[in-house]
Amino acid sequence: MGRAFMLDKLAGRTIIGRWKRRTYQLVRMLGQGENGVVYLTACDDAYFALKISRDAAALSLEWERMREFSHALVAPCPKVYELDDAELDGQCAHFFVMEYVEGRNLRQYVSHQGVEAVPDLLLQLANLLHSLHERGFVYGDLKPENVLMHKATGKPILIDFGGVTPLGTVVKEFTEIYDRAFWGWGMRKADEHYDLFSLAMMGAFLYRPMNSRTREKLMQSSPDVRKTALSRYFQQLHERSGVGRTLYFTVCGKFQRVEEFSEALKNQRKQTAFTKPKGAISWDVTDWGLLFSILVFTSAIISIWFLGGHQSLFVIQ
Amino acid sequence: MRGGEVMQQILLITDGCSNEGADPVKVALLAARQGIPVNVIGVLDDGVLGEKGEREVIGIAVAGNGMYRFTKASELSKTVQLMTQHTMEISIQRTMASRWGMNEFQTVDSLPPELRPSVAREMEHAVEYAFLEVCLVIDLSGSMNPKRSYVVEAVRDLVHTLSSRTGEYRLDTIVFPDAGGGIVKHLKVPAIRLADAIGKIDPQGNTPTGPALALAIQTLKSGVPKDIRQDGSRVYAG
Ligand SMILES: Nc1ncnc2c1ncn2[C@@H]1O[C@H](COP(=O)(O)OP(=O)(O)OP(=O)(O)O)[C@@H](O)[C@H]1O
Repeated sequence: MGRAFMLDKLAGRTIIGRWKRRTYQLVRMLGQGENGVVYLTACDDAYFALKISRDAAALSLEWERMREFSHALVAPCPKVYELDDAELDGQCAHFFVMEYVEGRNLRQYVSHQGVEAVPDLLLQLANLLHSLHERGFVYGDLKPENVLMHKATGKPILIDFGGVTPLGTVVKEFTEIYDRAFWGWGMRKADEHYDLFSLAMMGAFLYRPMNSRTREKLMQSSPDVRKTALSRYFQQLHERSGVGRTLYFTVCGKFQRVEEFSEALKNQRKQTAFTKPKGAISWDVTDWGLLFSILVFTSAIISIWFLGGHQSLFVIQ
Repeated sequence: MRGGEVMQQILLITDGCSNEGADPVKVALLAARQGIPVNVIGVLDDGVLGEKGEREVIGIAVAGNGMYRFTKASELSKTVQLMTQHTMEISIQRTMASRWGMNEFQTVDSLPPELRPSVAREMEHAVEYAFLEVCLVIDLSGSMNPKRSYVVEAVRDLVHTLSSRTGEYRLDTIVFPDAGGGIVKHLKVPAIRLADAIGKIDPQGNTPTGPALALAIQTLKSGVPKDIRQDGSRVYAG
């Protein structure tokens, strides 16, 4: 903010940890964001990812949040190693070292694999989020760019723990189009549903992205207007995917807990798999219900017609 | 820890250079002397603000011991939140420094890395619980017209975030120029109605940035609210 930030020009350089004295060679930049720059780094003949930043407090908090999950059975984030400082051209910068995740982010992955992969990915991500919730945290800034697909395992993993927020406090980082408050569906307070909301929006936008013009227009509208626009969007989405309904229910707060969401999504998939040969129109509960009521209604009309001595029902006498 | 800390900040949103009343840079200096940081967001049209306007934005932030950012109108909401959050962190860091054996000019950086996370955690907690007093100073001169709807939503969004915090807050808003004929105006409406109130003002006229900042200081220094509402917003007399 308002000061020269050259942390993105460090590819090819070597840094030495001021406290732990380890040497890291910065091979190339992997990406950058609001809080820092991430490099692929070589140290002792192994590759790692290294996040470097000027904000010591935010960086060390992120490091600690990630470290809490290092021993989890299914790790939701890369393993973290050292937290240290580096002297760069007379200025001090802070960094931490983590496991390098080779793979694409979720957006790239889905555009390559196709949207059929989405429901399963959502279920896996729901599990990762659940492991955070169990420890009293909400992930917060869930978006495709913050999910990497591990090339080796094929499993998703969450990066950027800078937005991880203790349950019950205000969400620290968010991205409008995945944010519950933006769409008028609730507070910006960290609870389980906050993450589920983002997860559902992310799933929906992977099926059917929102164009930038609509986004721009919505930025200038009130949350009420956005809410209406969103319900229209989901109506259209549902025509393309049965999963759309489950996602919309999640957005509306019908599922407050990760288990409920996963359960509903699994059921939805079973149904779709059963009734929907690839490419055909899918019938779900409401459609069968509609057919049933049409049959009941028609038979009622016919019987009234018979009983009423073949008089026309529609003539007012 | 109890919600002991009180944090004040001024956030100026403007798209040009002042052209009426006191020099805003000098007023910002006064704010800084009273311990109130002045942050400035320069809202850009097609990526430009003009050299003079740009220099003034930087000048105000530097004199006001705050930070500045230039941003497109569509990014305004995000920028407002980032700045408010970041300023709180800096204030907390300053007020709490002595507790960790640092002077107010030292930061977490001066501690060994393994001690930083617990300090950072304590800061995070303090930021969540502190009593936050924000005074928005919003430029509604003629040139802001095409950007007004973004401003309205950015304010609404800020209120959303503020009321999602655990700690209480007080939000004041100074708009300039005063559409009613005065130079600047303190909008005395509860936080939840603030965005709509701004939406009803037609941007027109001069840019008296200096006087607006002066009123902001005065408001933060006095202006004891009459009542605290359920959602954390305050109700004013009159
Ligand atoms: N462990 C990792 N392995 C491989 N690539 C990574 C790793 N961590 C981060 N990256 C890459 O670096 C980019 C930036 O990382 P990250 O999102 O943590 O930065 P940030 O500054 O916190 O960003 P944001 O603005 O989203 O908060 C990511 O988008 C990703 O492509």
